Amino acid sequence: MMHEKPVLIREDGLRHDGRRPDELRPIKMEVGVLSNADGSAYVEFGGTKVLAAVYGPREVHPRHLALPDRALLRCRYHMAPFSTMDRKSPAPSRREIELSKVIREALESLIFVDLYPRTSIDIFIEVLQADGGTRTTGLTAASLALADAGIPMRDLAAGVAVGKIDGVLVLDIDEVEDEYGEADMPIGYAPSIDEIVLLQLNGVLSLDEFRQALELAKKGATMIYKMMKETLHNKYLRILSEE
Amino acid sequence: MSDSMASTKKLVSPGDELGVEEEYFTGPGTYIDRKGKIRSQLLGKVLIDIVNRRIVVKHIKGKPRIPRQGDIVIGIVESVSNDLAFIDITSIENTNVKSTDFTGIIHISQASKEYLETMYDALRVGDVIRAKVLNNSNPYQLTIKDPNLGVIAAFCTKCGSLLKKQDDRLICPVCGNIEKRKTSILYMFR
Repeated sequence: MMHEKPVLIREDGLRHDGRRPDELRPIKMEVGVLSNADGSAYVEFGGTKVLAAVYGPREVHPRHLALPDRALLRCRYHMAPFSTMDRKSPAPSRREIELSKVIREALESLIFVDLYPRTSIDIFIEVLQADGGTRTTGLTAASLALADAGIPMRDLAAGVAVGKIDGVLVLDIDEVEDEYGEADMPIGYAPSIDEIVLLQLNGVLSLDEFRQALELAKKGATMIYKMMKETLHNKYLRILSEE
Repeated sequence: MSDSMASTKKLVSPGDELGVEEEYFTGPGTYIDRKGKIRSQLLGKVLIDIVNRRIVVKHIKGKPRIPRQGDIVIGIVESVSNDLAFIDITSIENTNVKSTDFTGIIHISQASKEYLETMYDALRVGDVIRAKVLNNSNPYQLTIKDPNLGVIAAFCTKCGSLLKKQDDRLICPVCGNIEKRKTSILYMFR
């Protein structure tokens, strides 16, 4: 299906959905949504809806995968068959396997895996509805779920994508902008310790544009990070005040 | 933890700055970053010991709840050999944790205060036991030596029905079979 390219940057300088270039989509976050998981979170970035669950530290099955000096981190990023316009086969695709790997590696750099040897920490990221930026939404949801599960981490990671559409650098691109834009750069950022944990780039950016895009992404991620902290605090402030 | 540990009302999340390296000794739930700042690892409460200058962060819900040395756990006997028994730890006592998923090992020397010819005289597959954790790493070593530890529910090896405790013996109410176990004084069926 190849459609006519839609107008991505309107004449008034706003994007096709009315956002400014440096504006995020409406974000909704909730933690502790699943009772069977040790930690869970639900995150919406506009039309992208993601559920994340964390189990562990728990015993590793199969046993031979256990690591003697640290916890085994396993991550499954999966898109529900109903998450896209055309039905997506529920079997893990090449893309999903890759995203599971990059998200796992992003979180592995933040989690203190050496505190729980011979155990596994399992992260499940389920995309319920996809509208661009699913890996960054997934990363955000996963770090909220990990904090909820009490897994020791160096910092929370916030994910956000920066894109270049019609020559303009824009924050938090959606499906349409990703499809017709020139570049897509998803970033995972831990603002408190100022570390980039995930960085991919699809498309072409000049060195100067790359630097600008990175700054824009850091700005966006810091905004998301603040919301993540607020969500966690709001959820547990009640428990604290009861004591 | 000593008595001088003062709890603050502050709720912190992972990555939050708690101070600088020179201020405190770091305890569980905290770490020192590359720039020498003390940061939180967890979502929880900050506890500061002013006397010993120690800082600790406790998770708000006590997670992750994994067995620790000294914990009393409930488990099911998974397999028994002459000198070892493997236990599926199902829960930790005095916590609201529904299930844990760890394996415990009981050596025959930790099964009873008296001499045992074989482990089969203390435990059988399927028994529900109450045990104490001896170490802090997986696989967990358990003991059932104490009088309040040991089998709290057992099944007849001949007919499979629930055994009742009479005096110091386990008797099957269906087939009258008498069995040998290391029972706890908390055995549930009499």
